[in-house]
Amino acid sequence: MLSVCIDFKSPYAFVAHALIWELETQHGFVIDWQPLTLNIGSFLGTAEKSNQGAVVATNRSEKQWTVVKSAYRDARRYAANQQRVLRGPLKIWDSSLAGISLMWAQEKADDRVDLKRFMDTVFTQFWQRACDLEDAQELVKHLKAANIKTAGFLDYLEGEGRERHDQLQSRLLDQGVFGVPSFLIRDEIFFGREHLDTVLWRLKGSQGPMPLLRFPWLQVSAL
Amino acid sequence: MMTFSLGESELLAAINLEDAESIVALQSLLQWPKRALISVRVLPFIRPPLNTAADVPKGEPAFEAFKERRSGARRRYQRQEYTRNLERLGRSSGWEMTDSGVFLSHDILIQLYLGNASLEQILKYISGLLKISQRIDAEGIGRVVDELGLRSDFDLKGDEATLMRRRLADLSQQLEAQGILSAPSLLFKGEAYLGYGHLPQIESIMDLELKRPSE
Repeated sequence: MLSVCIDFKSPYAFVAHALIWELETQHGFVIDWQPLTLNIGSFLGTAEKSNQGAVVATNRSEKQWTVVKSAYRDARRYAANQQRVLRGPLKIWDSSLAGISLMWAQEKADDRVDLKRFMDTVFTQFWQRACDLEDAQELVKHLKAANIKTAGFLDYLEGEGRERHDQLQSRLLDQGVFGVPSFLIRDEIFFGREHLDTVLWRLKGSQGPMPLLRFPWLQVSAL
Repeated sequence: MMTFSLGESELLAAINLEDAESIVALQSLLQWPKRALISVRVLPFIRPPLNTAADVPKGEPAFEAFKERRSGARRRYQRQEYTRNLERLGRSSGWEMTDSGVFLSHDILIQLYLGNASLEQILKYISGLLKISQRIDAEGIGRVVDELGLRSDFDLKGDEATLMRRRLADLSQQLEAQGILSAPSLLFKGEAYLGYGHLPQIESIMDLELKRPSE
């Protein structure tokens, strides 16, 4: 059983999600997607920017800014390699509603293609600054567009879904999951897309030497 | 003071000999098919592990409790990854270094860099270190460098030790100014890459350059 933890507001999850889906579509390992709603303020401080991109409020140290800028430089390179647009968010979003939507979508989608479409749309639009992750109606719109039923969704967001989401956060922390994307295979955790080869190796029975870490870089033959 | 500079066709691996992933990084570079086309250099980078959470201002008790739980999760994960890296190195247990072992072993890395040592020579040195025992000290390091034909008469109680510590600190500061945040990291054409897994991207940059018409 393979579980993958993601958060729509993570640039690393954004540049990894299409590659992670290949574990299922190319290799046949069905993924149990689990939302891990990051509390970014607890490890990188907080910041808010104006529409023009100027920082209007922050409690970040110089080191935290260096790490954040380095992370975005890295994620942008990989987004560009996948022909994806990555525009840095202007604030730290509460992505828990989107996470609960992911749980709903996974449960209600008649076809995994619909779930994949929902995830790709939310990721893509959020990183183009065209999706409000905190707006339930917007999430309804994306579920419908992906052909996923929405009857009862709003109640789920505030009731059972919220409860399950919050319990999951606690359980994941106890397991040792603290960032995204993370891969869980039984009790073993792999954090980061650079572990994809090792995850696949483990799923296939750990034959031969353990692979080294590798950030997947798509070779664009047209270059 | 040692001034570090990197040529256009050089790839730098910044490593920490106390860290298993750094050694895996060098092995990865050794197996890298593109290595023949580029000069791979190795330098030490010694800084406390990156922990941005430590800089977060204190908050309400619930927030602090969450931070503590998250740190615990991170530590538990790091232990798993450490075990995997030991497996990649074919080891069942790790190693530790005495204080003098840390600065002496890394100072020798600097000497190897200055002497243009090959990656094979550097890995031979490291392999020697890891065979000393689980606790790597100055005496053991002396024996390893002696066997390799390098200078081994270090005065670790006098000015030489101070000089080594200063050289190591200066170098780490210079690398930090280049964008290196932790070890292992790679530096290529002025760009820092956290971790060693970015080799496919570096290959792609090299391929593009090969395709570019010469001026």
